[in-house]
This record gives sequence, C-alpha cells and structure tokens, in this order.
Amino acid sequence: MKMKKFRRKEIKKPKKILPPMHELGVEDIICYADTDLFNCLQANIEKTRGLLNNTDDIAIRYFDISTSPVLKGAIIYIKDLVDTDIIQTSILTPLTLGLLKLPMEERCNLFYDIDLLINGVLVNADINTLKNSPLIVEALLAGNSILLFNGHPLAVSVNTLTEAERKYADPKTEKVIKGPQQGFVENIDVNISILRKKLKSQHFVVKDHVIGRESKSKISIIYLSSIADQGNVDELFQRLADIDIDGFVSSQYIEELVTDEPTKIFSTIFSTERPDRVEAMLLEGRIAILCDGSPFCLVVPSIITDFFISSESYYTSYYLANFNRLLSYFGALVVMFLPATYVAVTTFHQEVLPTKLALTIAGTRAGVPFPAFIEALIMEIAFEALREAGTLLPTHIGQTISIVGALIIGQAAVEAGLVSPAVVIIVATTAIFSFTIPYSNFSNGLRLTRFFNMTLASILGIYGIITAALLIALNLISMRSFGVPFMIPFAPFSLQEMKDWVLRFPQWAITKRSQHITKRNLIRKSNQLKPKPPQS
Amino acid sequence: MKRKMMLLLVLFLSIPLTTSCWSRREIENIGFVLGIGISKTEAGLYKISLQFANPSTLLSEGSETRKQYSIIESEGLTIFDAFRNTTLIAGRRPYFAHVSAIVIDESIAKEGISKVTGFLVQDMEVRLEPYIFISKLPPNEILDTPNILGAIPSNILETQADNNKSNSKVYVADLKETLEIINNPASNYVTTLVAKVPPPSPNELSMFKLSSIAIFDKDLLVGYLNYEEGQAYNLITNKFKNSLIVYEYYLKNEPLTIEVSKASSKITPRFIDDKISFDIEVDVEGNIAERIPHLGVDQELQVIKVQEQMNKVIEDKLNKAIASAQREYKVDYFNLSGNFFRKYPEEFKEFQDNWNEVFSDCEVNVKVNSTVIHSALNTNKGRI
Repeated sequence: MKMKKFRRKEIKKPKKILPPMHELGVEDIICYADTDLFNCLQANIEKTRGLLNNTDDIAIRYFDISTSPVLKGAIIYIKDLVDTDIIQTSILTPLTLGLLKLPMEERCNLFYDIDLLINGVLVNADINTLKNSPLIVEALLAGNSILLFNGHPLAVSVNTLTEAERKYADPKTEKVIKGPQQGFVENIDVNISILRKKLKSQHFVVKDHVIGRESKSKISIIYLSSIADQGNVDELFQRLADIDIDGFVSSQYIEELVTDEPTKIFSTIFSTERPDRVEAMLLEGRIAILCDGSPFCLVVPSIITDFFISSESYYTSYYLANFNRLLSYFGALVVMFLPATYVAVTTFHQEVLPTKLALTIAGTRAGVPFPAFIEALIMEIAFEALREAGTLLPTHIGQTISIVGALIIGQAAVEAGLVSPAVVIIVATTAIFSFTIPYSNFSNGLRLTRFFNMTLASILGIYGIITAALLIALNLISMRSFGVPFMIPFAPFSLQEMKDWVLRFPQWAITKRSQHITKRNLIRKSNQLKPKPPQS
Repeated sequence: MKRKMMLLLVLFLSIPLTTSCWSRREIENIGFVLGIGISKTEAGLYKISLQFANPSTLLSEGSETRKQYSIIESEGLTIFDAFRNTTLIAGRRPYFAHVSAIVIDESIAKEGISKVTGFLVQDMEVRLEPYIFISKLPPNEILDTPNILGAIPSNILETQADNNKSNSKVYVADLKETLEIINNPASNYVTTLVAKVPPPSPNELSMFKLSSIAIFDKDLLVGYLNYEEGQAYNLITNKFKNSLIVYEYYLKNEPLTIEVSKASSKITPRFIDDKISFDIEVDVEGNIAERIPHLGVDQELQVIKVQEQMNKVIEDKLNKAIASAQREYKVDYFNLSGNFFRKYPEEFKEFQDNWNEVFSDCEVNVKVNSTVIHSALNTNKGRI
C-alpha cells in the first residue's frame, strides 16, 4: 500500500482578510491607543473572526439601529451556544422597533451618546462594555452575543447563553461507570455545541462541508487549529471534496470513502459516540468529523491503540486502568488465537500439553463424533449466530435467545456428547474476551480472523497459527491512517507514546503529544505536575 | 494478470486440501503411555510393558483405581520391534510424549543399560524427562501396583522421584542424564532401585519405595548403595538439596538432628608426579531441627562445638563411601573423571580406558565446613 502523500504545496497560510477600503463606509480606519478595536464595524468583525480562525459556526447579523441618522450595527454569536430568542427580545427588538417609538430628538441623542444607547435601551441583565478583542473572543466562547457599532471602537457583550440544557443521549455502545453519561445525538448542531462547551478555545475550529447530490447533508470538521497538523486538515478537506455521492445514511459511508485502507478488514478510522473521548483526541491534535444524522463522531488519524482505550480508564485509578488495558490486549490475542490453539494442540501437538491436561481433554473428547476443528467451528458459528440474534431482536425477546443458547448449546449438546465441554469453555472464553475490547468496529475484525486462524491451524497445526499471525501482523503493520502508521506505538516502536496509549500513566507523567499525530505544539503540560508534600 | 492470480489461488487452495492434514490425529484416538517397563523373557526376547492412561475414567469421579490405566505387554527381537508389536494388541496407537517413568529390569541392567536406551533417544516422540528406575521385580508388577491415592503408578513414581530432593538419600536420573552418561566412555551411571514394600496393614495396598542407589560400571549394574552412602554420593556430586543429618551431641549424649538447607561441593583434582589425587571440599549450611536435651542439664548449646562435630560426622560419612567405592566396587560412581578431565584434558586420555582402576588407587581428601545458622527451636531449647 502506497502511503498517500500530503498535498503540502496546497497548504496556504490563512490570509488576514480585511475588506477593501471602499467597503468600509468610513473614510479612514482609526487606530486607538487604549483599545485594539477600530472605529469601523467591518474591520472589527473581521478581526474577531480572524481570532476565531474563521470557524464556520459563528453567526453575524447586520442590522440598522433605528437612531437618527441610522447607526449600523452587528451582532456576533456562536450559533450553538446562544438562545436566539433572547437575542431577539433583548437586543434586536429594542434597538430597532423599540427606538422607532421614541421621538426624533431622543433618537438623535442616542446616535451621538452610545453609552445611553447601551444602558438605556438594551434589555438584558448581563451587559458589559468591552474594549479589547481577546475579551470579545472570551465572551463569545462563553455564550455571549457581541454587539458592535459602526464608528465606535467598543463592543458590548450581552448574555444570551442558552439556559436549557439540550437533551443528550446516553452513550449506548460505550458505557462507563464513573464517567459522564453524555453521548452525541443525531443533530449535528447539538453535537458541535457539546464539543464547543467542552473546549472553550479560540482555536476550536468548525468547518462545514455539504455532501450528497440529493441529500445535501452537512458534515462538520472540527479541530484545534493550534495543535492539529495543517497537512492532515488539508488532506481531509481534499478527500471530502472528492466525495461525489447521492446521499449518505451513516457516518460509515464517510469512513469508507475517506479511509486510507479501503480493502482491509480492520477499520482505520476511529468512531465514537462519547464527547469526552473526542475532546481528548482533539487535544492530541486529531481531527473530528461529525456527520448530520449520525450520533457517531469519526476521528482521524487514528491508530490501533485507540480501539483498546476505554473512556473508563480515565475515570478510575491508573493501576486498575492499566490492568484493564492489558486485559484488553490479552483479550485480542485470545479472540484471535485461542480456538485455533485448541484445534492445533488437540490434533497435532498433544505433546505440548501437560500430561494431566492432555488426559483431561482426551477424556472429555471421548465419544465426540466430530474432529476438533469441526467441533470448534460449529460452536463458534453457533455463538456468532446467538450474538447476532441477540443484537437484532428487541430487548425483551433477546433474553430468550440467551436462555435457548445456554440451555441447548451449553447443556444439551454436551450431555448428548455432540461437543466436548472443553470446546464450550474455549468458545465461552473467547466470547468473554472479545467483549473486553472496548470498540467493536476493531474487535469485529479480530473476531473474523479467528475463523481463518482456525482453518489454518486445522491444516498446519501451530505452524499454521504462526503463519496466520504473521499475515495479520503484516496486514496491520502495512496500514496507515492519514499517513500515520496504524500500529504506532508498536511499529514504529515508541516508548514515549506507550505511556498514554498502551498503558495509562498518571496524568502528571504524560507531558507530550505524539509527534506522529501532529508536528507542532508538542508540549501539552508542565513537567512539574507530580504532587509533592509542601516544603517546610 | 487475472489468469495468473486465479492460477495462484488454485495452487494455494490445493496445497492444504490435497495434503489432507497428513499428520493429524485427534487427541481422543491416541493412547497416552505414561510408563514403560523393559525386561527380558526366558527365550531372550525383549519384553515391553506399556502403561496406558484411560482418560475417560480419569475424569469420572469415584472410578475404581484399577480402571484408570491398562497395561499392555508385547515381545520382540529388539526394543523397537517389541514396541511395534504392541499395536497388534493395543486398541490405540501408543503415544510416548507423556511418558513419566521407565522401569528397567535388573537383569537387563546387569547386561548393560545402553542396549535398551537406544530406541528411547531415536524415537522422536519420547521426551528426555522421564525418570529411569531399576527394579528387581518384573517391571509390569511395578507398573501395576494400585495405590490408595488412586493415581496412575507411573505418576506416583514420578512424584516420588521429585520428592526425593527433600531427602537426598537416593538419586533418580532422568532420561537426558542417562543418555549423556551412557554415551560418555569414561562416566559411570547411577540411578535408583525401586522396590515394592508390603502393605503396612491388611486394608492397605502395597507401595513403592525408592530403596537404594543402583551404581553402574559404565552401563553395567554392579551394586547398590545404602542411604548413608547415598547421602555421601549426593554431597560429593553436588546433588544434595535438603536432608537431615542425625548424630549425638557429644557433650551431653543427646541426639541432634541437623536439617541441611544448603550444600555445595568443590572438587579439585591434582596431578603431581604421576599421582592423581582429589581434594573434595564440602560446604554445608543447616539449622538444628530437633534436639532432645536431658532434663536438668545446662540447656545451652555451643554452636561452634556442634559445627566441629558435624564436620567430623560428615567427613566420616564421605570417607566411608569413598573407601567402599575404591575398595569394594572399584567404580568411580562419583564421576570424578569429569573433574579431572576438565583440568587435565591431555593427561586424561592416558587414563581414559581404565579410569576405574586409576580411581581405586588415587588419594581422595575430604574437608567439610559446616555452618549452623540458627537453632530453629523455641527459647526453651526444645523443651516444651
């Protein structure tokens, strides 16, 4: 597989967008000593947008304030954080319709006395006059609306934060015990606002993209412009621009259309429905893709360890978290190779078993009519059928499936002597371990490989297992996700990155970002974080 | 291109399908041999007794002891011939990877053990871990000794051999060591004699006893050592693990039991003026495990005295064993030849062929350093 090269030449530095002078409406833009705002409305708006990296979820509403003469004004707000009803009632209505009721002299006064306008007309409990653009950005990100007036180097922040928490879904596929029970929903705007509230950074950039000839579905690309690799962002835009389909139903469509490895059994794009997980990955310099209509957020570039990290591990002590991580990796090996090992050992390599175990297995297999491979295959397929039936059926009928499975397959088949108890144990162990891998879209691939492994093991014994292991390893190592080797930090080996990805070191020990994901802003924390007793 | 790919695919598919898993055998169809007995018939044929495990009865609880294994005998001109002939009798193909004990009849041992071990190394299934026992009884009788523990006799033999590390009175050689020594022209083989002791009570079953060390001149059985000599053998050859040394504490005539926890020997061969001599230095570390002091006597124990006395006791033991090896058996079963060879490889060639005679004449000096670490007794020095 060739590594797709980034189109580095196409990366352009974002230009400072200032409109041509003739559009300003004022002859000269004046710079002031006590503020970095201008006296020009448009210049102030562009400055603010520039500070927010031209993100797409910012809304600007121009309107005329009904003073005499008319004063040009604008409201800036972040779409998903504010309640537009408040904007209408507390800003727009008083400044436009409300002023019309006043006599002409007062409207003249208001044009010249901006303080009177702010204090006398606006109807809101929380109004601040700001004279500094960083303060404006801060206020915007906190859910305020910013009111700007043409000819005045000041801004007014009006508290328009939406009070009602939107309804969040429970994350259905990624449960945690101690962490937040908040998941993405089908509405993309809600999803962006969830993330926006988690990361109140001016570098948080939302870029919208519309895909689908017929569906015209909205896709939002979210990244932190201070951390994410611009090359990756450009590459993603390019790949999305190349998509030409009639419509898409799920985020899986996008995943299959932008992935580096379209033919591999393992997925190279991570998807999650947990906002806290996306937040953590954005902070690592990754790029999130939200699709309208899908409660799953795709994250690129992703690597193998992402699929083994459960959000739970960041809500428990790191000893337990490490243990669980290692259990997941062990589980992956068990899922792939345990049935295959059973087949190989009982049909070819009886000498590797301890004597007592060999005798026990031989005793339980006495009278079983099938060879070990057929026996294991039947049971594995039966389990997969049970699993699939359990997910497809409605919950209350799904329970009957487990009873039928446990009784008929577990009990009756063993008692009738059709399968040996040993193989039931093997299948059950494999099933349990397959659920220790937190993300099913990776473990599904692993689960499928075990049939291949079992077949090779039944033909070639342990040699066959090694062959299968090599093929799987080669497959994994050859994969890339947006140019990042998929098997990081195993291959290329990186001890530093294992600290957070394979194990979970305490938070004070992880101070750097991976240089494989992003090239810049690698230091993420102070390295003096380890708590110490006070010096006496 | 597509045609070629298809051809390749057909090839790859046919490889696994046409070989039809040629070496495949299901685990339930093989006969697990746990013990092998080798003896000779009166007609001069080799007789093999194979102890098969019976896996299905092993699982069901409360099954009769007798049914856990079955013994199959067959005869043949050679060992391998006899092994092959078992397939005429056995229902299952014998599988030798799990053999844990090999019992060899004394009569074969007297003729030379190397005649029967050839097959065991040439067959690829046998591991090198089974223990070798010599038996005066016919091996099938040893292998068919049911026991109250309900385990297969071969496994009991294996467990007993492992347990002997806490006694160090006998030494059981495994197959690997056996093959190494037998194929070395200057070494003498040593392993253990297994005997059957009558049941201690009428309701009991008879049991195994590892009764003495069997010593060999090269691979010919020449005699048996008692437990005293057995301890000396283990001490000199550095195989001493953990054992008891009992003697009377001379100051007060009270019996004293020292539990040796650590022992090591250092053998220094010397070759001066065409005379061979050996200095054997043994370091023993132990603690007082049992002491029966007299009432009313001073309870204090003088550790230095205990150590000095222990040196003497062990030295006596070693000297006696060496003397009997030199005079009685005229066999270097300590394999001091190896130490000599490592220091004087060139000179050794001269003595290689008649090393046992050379050994009988050479001088062996023994020195023991014992250390008694602690009394391991309560403050009342053994009194309750």
